[in-house]
Amino acid sequence: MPPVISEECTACGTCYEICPGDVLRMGEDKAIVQYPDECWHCGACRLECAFDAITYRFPLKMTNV
Amino acid sequence: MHKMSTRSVDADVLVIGGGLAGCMAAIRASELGVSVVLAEKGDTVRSGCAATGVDHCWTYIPEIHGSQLAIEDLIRDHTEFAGGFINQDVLLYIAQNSYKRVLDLERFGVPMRDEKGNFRLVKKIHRVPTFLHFAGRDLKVKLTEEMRRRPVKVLNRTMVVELLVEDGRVQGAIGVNTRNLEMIVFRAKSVVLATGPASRLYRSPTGVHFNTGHPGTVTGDGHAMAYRAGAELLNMEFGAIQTGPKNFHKYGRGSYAPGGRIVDGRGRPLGSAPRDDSGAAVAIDRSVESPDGFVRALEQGLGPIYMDCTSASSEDIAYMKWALSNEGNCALLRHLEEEGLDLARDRIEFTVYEPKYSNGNSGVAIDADTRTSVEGLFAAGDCIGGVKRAVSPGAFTLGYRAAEMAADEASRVSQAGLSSACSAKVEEKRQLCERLLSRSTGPKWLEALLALQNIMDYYAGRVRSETMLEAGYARLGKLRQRVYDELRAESPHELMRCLEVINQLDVAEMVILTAKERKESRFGLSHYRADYPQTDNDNWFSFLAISRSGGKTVLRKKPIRHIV
Repeated sequence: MPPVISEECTACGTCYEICPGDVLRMGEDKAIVQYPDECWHCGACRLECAFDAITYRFPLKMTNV
Repeated sequence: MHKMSTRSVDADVLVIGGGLAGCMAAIRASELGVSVVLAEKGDTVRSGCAATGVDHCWTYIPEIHGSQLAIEDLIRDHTEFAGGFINQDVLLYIAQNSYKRVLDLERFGVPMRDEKGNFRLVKKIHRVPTFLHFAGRDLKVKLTEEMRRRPVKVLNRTMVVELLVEDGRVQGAIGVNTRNLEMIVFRAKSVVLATGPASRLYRSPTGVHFNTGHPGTVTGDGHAMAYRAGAELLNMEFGAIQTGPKNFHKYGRGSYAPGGRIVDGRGRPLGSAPRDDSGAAVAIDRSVESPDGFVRALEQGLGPIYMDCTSASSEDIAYMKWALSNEGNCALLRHLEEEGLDLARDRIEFTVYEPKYSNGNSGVAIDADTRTSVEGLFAAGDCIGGVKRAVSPGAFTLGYRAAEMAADEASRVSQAGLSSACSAKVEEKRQLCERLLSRSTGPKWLEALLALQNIMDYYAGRVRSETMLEAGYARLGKLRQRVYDELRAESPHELMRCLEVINQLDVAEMVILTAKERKESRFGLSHYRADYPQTDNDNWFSFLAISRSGGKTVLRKKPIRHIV
């Protein structure tokens, strides 16, 4: 499940700081998902984002739980 | 690009791993007048198995349990649940100290009680309710805040890749920064290993590689390092196989209670009713709802198998959702919502997950004081072996104890420099890292991991035998050689993944060799030998320890320590 970073992102760096799998990196003006296939779906980035800038898109293999 | 800078970090106590056990260890050690450094591969705020929460901690609360249950009976129940394979001295320590650590967490700001100030106790594997449900979603945040209030030096994004041991005594460790090209040489008087379980050794059934119940980051680094350092590990032949939602792998199966029951494709219950006649929530019937029961049901065409909460009261549904959201299942719950699924209305399809080596069962052998067989090395949490279902109380209590032992050890040892053999090890590691980083062609870490998973799935999976394990071991050896000769990384992040795979090769070796040695079948799917299909208590009611000595692997039976 790659996190999807929206335009609400202010590049505060929190998600980059806390992602357990080091999946994100910081671009110039927003966070970027560098390793989408290594996401463990813990939900930490969305929990910690103060700007509601993160949603998730699950790969088809993971949908319809 | 390929040259790594080096720096040294000295500590009285080095804690490896910043999960539940590691944080508790660092917090306790900081109270004992010793310098503490904690190295964590991710960031302690959301790392490890409790990343976005853990909702339960079994515990013995004297003022509540004292009249209902002798602590020895808790030990007996737990031992029976584990089929006798429990070092009871360690389990007793955990049980005796679990409540003190619950109170610690409360002091750290984790809400352990309900709004009325009562403990939510649920019955699971012990004969009376001992599983404490609490709002642990932000437990890691609280532990991190606590560490920040204290003189604990936390090095996040630091993967410890090797223990430095001389003459059976720990001297420190080697770390690698996962975001910068930097090697850190730790010199420590004592070390607490708190690296968690060994996962990702087998393919995730969904085919999404990091869709695993445990985090993708717990690759058994501590298991592998301890093995290479000469420590003994137990139960590496017993895979821990759990069940949970089919396409979105998350543990926390126990949080679908009360009110959740496992049903087959026709909606008939596979296990017991969720509540007994008195209305009290009962433990799930392990025999039919176990992974073995699932596999049997699927093979008989009774599937799909579902977790059915649709008959639960709205109160129970609310409770389950609360529990799940605190058990690291927020993302799962939101996903269900976004897919238009609701626990109250829809059955959730469940399946059997791939094996991992964990749970307090498969890992580094310790005594009740967390000592390993390497002097100055202590272990706590899910990286230990011999105490199945030690889980969160095991992390809290043993992390605390390991800190006390490590601090005491540090006070008696003078800080020496690294021995020349250890310095040579540092150089060797640096050269390995730079070699991986300097190659411009060749396989990357995922290719190697998938090849390893193919070996484990095929030769050391559900059906084991002498010939299969022998063949698997041969293939593993060949893969190992190619990994060393060909693997490449293009960044510090990829270097971390390469080093994880290298550790996983060692974990795989331990699994294969111990599975081959234990000539019996035991614990259902966990270890099934087609060539020795019976359980053989006369010869095999004992632990099997694996270690390395003088470059050779040693396997020996170890008596299971029962005291009640």
